[in-house]
Amino acid sequence: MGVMLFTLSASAQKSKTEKVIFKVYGNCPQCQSRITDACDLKGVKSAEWDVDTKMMTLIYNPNKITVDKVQDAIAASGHDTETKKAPDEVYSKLPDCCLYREKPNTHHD
Amino acid sequence: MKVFLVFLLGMISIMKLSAQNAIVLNGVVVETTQKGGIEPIAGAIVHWIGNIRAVSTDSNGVFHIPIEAKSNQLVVQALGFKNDTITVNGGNYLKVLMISKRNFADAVISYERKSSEVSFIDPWKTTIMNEKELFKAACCNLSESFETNPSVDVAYSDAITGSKQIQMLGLAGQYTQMSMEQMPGIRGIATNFGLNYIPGTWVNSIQVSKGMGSVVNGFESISGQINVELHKPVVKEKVYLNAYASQGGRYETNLVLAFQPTKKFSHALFLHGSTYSLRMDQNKDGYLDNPLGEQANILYRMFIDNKTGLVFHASVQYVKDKKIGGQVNFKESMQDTANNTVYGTKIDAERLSGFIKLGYVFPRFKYRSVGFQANASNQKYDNYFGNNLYKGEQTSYYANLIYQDIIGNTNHRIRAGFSNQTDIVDEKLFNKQAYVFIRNEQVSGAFTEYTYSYLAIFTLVAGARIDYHNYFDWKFIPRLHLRYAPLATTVFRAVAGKGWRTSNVISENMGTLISARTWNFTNAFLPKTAYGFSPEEAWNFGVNVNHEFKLNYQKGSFGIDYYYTVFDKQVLVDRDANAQQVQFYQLNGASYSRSLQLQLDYQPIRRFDVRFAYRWLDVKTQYNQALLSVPMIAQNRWFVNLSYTTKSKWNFDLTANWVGQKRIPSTQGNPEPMRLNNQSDPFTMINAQVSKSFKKRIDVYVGCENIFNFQQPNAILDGATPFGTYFDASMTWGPVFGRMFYGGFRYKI
Repeated sequence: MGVMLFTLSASAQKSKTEKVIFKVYGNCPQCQSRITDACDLKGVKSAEWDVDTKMMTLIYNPNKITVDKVQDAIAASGHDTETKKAPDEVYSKLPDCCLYREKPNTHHD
Repeated sequence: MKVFLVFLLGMISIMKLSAQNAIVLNGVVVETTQKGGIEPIAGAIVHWIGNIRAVSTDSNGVFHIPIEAKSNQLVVQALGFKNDTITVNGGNYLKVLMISKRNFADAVISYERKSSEVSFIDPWKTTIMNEKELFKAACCNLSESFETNPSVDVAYSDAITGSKQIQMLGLAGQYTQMSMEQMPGIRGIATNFGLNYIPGTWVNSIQVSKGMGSVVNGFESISGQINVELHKPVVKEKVYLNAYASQGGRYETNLVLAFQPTKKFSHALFLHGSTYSLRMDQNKDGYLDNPLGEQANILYRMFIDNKTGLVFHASVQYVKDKKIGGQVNFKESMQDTANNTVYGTKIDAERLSGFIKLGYVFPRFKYRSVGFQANASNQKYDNYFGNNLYKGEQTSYYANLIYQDIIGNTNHRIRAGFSNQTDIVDEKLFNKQAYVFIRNEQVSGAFTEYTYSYLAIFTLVAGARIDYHNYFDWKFIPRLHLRYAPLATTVFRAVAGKGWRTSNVISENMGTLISARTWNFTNAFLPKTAYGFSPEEAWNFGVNVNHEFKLNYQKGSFGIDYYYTVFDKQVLVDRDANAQQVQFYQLNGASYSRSLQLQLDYQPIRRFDVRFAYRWLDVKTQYNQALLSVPMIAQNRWFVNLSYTTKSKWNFDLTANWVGQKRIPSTQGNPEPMRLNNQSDPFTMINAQVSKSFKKRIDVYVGCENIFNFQQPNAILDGATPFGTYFDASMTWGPVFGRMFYGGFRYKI
């Protein structure tokens, strides 16, 4: 019995995931799907972004990906984080309602 | 445990919970950080002045508070911040920026509002089928849109006209209330073929709910309701073009043009043209598998929203649909009731309909509104099925006035109003003898519905309506819906209520005219009745549970529902008593349907959705001779849908349906070679589709229906002598059409 428990916890440690919460700038549900789509990466278990609070809750496997890489991918899709800035040429192509730098927090009807 | 897990993994869910709130003010309380960012404040207390009942914000700073009639002053308190009072003038989204006492002497409050539609957590278990869901099948029209929905069964009316009908809870399609944009849609004599008049690509979403609906929408729903919403002109796409072609010689094009010239006015034009042009006889029975024909369909709609609370919406539609079927070499010019040479059928339909909706929301009181809706339609049929002739015309008018308000606060809401439904039906039937049926039904009624909601946890909807029918006098129906969500992920619902409707005996059984059977009415010409019958009346009771879960970080949901329907009055269609007759008579005894369904939806891998469902039915009726299972109903049905999307927007869809045995009406009275089995064979239908999306503008799709090429054997009884005594093409329990490939594209700009 003791052996079994030990094996279980060992394997749990191996496939350990980590959870981080960080800010991603964006406005509307359209931004939400763009941001979560950008997190569709190997090693990311779950990515949920809250439209109201702008907080991203990321669950990932640190052996496979880093938070930095995820933030790079989010920025590449047009959304700033506290540490990464989206390229202007990508940002400028976002739909009007998503232009969070000019019109923060406006909601899309 | 292992078994349970396997069970969970094996199943797929049908339903998306509609997670909208009661008329509630939603908001978020935030603070500015020193960096200038915005952070949520958890545990802030929010209440209305004059009402001590308070709510607190969650870890994301979000709160939900019912709107109050007496007060529009909202107090927000948070530890370390100054208390603030905000005047809320409407809208139901609020953002409160709290300023820390530490940093500023004065409090500053900024807020913004979002006005959105009056929404509420549905007390009805509603499955919303959106465009993505509809795209899973090559659905050309509404009757084919339900292939990915385990709650709706597809029934085949006959082996010749190619028409598909729907069943819910094991009850025929006429017991389901069909509405378009929440107004009575396809009903009366159009019930059977009317699903063909709404092209699938016009549809924006379909809401399917089982059991009784709201009394506001009328008295006719018994087994459930299906509401269809078409594309709105306010969407981004200005042009939506679709074309489709199938191996079976079916060609379709749809064009939707939407314009929004000003913020207050928008309109759209919908066009559809389709044709069946190939004479296909895959099962080599000498009859066309699908009739030849064409349809032209045009719809125009407009919206006016003057942004001061007044909304106007109007729509008009015209459909012309003609289908010629029968023996392979039949042509329209060959129809000849005197010489009985070649057997042919024709369904020639024409429909003109329109509706208006006018709504006013009081600008200062968003919870108070008045709505008026009216529609009118004219439906004509000129059909023949061999020597059976049918001509029908129905003109209908409908008007409904709804007032909506609250009692005290938005926890107590009330809807009340009046409605009128007029149906003028004129039908001529020739089946061995000539019949003329004329009726003019007038139903005027009043309804009221009270909704109590306690936050997002509990909802009670109690409704009643009383209607006066010019033939059948007063009818009273009560309905009750309960919804309880102890957790955000788990919802329990219960429903009980009554419904009634006039049976349209001929149009609901048009398929049985494609046989040598003689129609036998009890007392066809009794005045002030419909075909000699009074309306059908039934009670329906249902319970369901839906649970959303996360397993291995992936979302899933699980649902169980059980419904029991029992008829007080029913018009029975008896094809068992005599194989050469269809007997219509009033129910004298028990008639019920019991339905159980399990469904699991899960995403085991990202972008890979699995839906699994099982449905069990027990539908029995006391006929003159015995209590029998209602024919052509499968007791068991299993359903699996697999859907995978790659990152590069390739979509793969597979739908499998296993349909169990159905009881076939008795043909024991026929001589030996003209008898059918008492039970149908179980069969499996598998459909698959691959589509690819290019830059979100173009979708190209190819697919295959009925991959296993299952066709009902012996679909036409005694097809060799269609004008003889034993001919019957209405004993259809499975697909007549075999494997079929198709392809098409959708283009949006």
